[in-house]
Amino acid sequence: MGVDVRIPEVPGSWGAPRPGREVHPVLRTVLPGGLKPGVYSLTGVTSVAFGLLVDGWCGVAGLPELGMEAAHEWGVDLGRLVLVPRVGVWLETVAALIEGLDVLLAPAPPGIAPAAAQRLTARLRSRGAALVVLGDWPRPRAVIHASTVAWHGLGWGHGHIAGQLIEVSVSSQHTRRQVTVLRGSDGVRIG
Amino acid sequence: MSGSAEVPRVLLAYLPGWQVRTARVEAGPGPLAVVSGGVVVACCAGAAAEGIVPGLRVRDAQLRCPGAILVERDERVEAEAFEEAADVIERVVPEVHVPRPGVAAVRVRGPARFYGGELAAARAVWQALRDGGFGEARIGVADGMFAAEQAARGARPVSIVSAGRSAEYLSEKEADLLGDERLVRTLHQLGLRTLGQFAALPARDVTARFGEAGRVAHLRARGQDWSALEPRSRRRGHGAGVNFDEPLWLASQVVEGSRPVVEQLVAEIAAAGGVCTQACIMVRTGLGVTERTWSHPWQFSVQELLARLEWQLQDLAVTEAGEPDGVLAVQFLPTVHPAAEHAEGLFGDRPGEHLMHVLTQLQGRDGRSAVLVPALRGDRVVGQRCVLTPFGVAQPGPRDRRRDQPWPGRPAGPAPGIVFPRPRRVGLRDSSGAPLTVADGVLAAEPAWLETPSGRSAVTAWAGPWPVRQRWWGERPVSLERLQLVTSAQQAWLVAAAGGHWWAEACYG
Repeated sequence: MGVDVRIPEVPGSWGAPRPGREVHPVLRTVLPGGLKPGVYSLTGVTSVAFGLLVDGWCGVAGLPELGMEAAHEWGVDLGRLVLVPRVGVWLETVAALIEGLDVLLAPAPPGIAPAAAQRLTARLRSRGAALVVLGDWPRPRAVIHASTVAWHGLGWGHGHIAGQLIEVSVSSQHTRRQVTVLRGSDGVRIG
Repeated sequence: MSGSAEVPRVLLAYLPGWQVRTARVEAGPGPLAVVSGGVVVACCAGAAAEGIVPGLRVRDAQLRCPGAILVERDERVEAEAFEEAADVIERVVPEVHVPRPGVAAVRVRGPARFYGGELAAARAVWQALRDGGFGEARIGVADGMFAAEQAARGARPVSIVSAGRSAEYLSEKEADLLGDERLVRTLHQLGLRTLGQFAALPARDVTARFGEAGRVAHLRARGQDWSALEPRSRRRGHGAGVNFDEPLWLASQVVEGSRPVVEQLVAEIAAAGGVCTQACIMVRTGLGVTERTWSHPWQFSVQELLARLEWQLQDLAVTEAGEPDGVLAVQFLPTVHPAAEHAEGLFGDRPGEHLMHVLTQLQGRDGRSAVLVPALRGDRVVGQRCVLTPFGVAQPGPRDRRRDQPWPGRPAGPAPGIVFPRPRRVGLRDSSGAPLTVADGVLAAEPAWLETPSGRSAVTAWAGPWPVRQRWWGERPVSLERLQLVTSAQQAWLVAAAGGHWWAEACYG
């Protein structure tokens, strides 16, 4: 057990740093090189996940409550986004979708066998696709945690929500990177 | 008369007073006459009551009815206006031929096979026209165009002259109907007043005396009108249909049975350099005909067209009251565009074949709604600001989505990350723990606690209420009072009071 099957996407690309899938510009500092093939685990503010669905054909499986308007504000091209509202058997559906999509967002499975998780990761590598799960994952490529620091604009009985200050931190094996982004009605920028 | 059996059976729709109808749009109410070359060519009933008749000179018409509106005939406008009626017909039967505005004809053989008889096909066309706002339409079915038009000019909405009986049907009619003035005058001089009398003349003698025009008129009078039926445009392309020898009860049987004709249809469209983005699929069961038009964002392949048929059959099985019935016939009416007209833009971003395969397979397994494509639309209610369309079905256009209109009632600021398709019941309490109420747009107290399924948290900031009056998630119009809240858990909520309860519309995450 524990044998990590590495299948290069392009023969001969061993060693050379391969750029991953583009992410929203504000997340570039925490995800340099973009989303690499593999599984990312995201916790906290859900809408940050949209910042990861900006390159290629992306999909959302099993999260029917995600606001598409927020996705649009995060720069998601809705013309290249597909939604699969009902997941059914998690592994089956996710495995089918990553065969065609470039980035897939899905809730974390209720529990996944390490062997199955490894097979899925191997498949992602060979396809060059990324999977972002909301919740925990055994040995993800990186853990992305987003939390709201402050809400702007809303007072006690007056005003309206004008902005959300979000702290995004990305921890991979040895590094931890952090950025603060401000989400306003005109889009997302570094806060 | 061995030839009469081979004359094509024609279904002809006649819209009486077409010239007056189109002129009326421009003229407004009042007695109306359409004139051309100084002569009245058509008039409305009101003008006719004043003594105006077609053929009257304009000066005389003005004398008889000084108040009459005279409109110069514009054939282009008549023809353009008739396109709408032809479109209506084309939705029911393919390959419509428009000999002149006001008259549309099709070969009845295909539609009759599909609808299960000429009468059923004629009724389908008539109903389509009536529903399309052409209630005055008359339908005639007979051998050849001429006989069909005479049948359509009858008093009944639908008249059918059975095959081979057209000559007999025409025999009592006046020879004037032939329309050729010189010929008719000569016939009158010869004492031939009916079509039957003219038809009885030997064909050779008629040709010798009247030439080619006489020969054609003679054939018409004998119910042997061979006028070719040319579809008005190639845009619709040819339809394709299949009839089953016995009713089929399984969707898969119907789909497999239709595969050869669909394969041929798609190949023909491709060979002609066309792109099919829309197709009307008609399914006939013992209970009747259902039709549905499917649009595709890119273009239909064989598999996709068959998938639409399958979806339609699934819907049929669900919606049909009582026992579903076996399928007797299926017809495909594609809308075809030249591929060049369509090069880019309209296609949008077509996913690669591989992704298409993955997604359509998922739809094949779990139904078409298993894979959806989002598009934003304008609305005040957050949950209705997005339209979801099954993958592979064309999305509503920007105008239908009303994106560009201002929506004064929409909440300002960044859009919420989580939107509940159906609002969720939540609790909102004041500092004393009593449920918060709102009356006439005023809160009874300040909100202090928000109760959601995940727990109770203190309200740290709030604003509102903002009134929103429109149809909310129900069908009935409702008025609701909306609040924005931030809780101690750093979550922001959009909640609304409606019907004495508080509901969460969205969570900002």
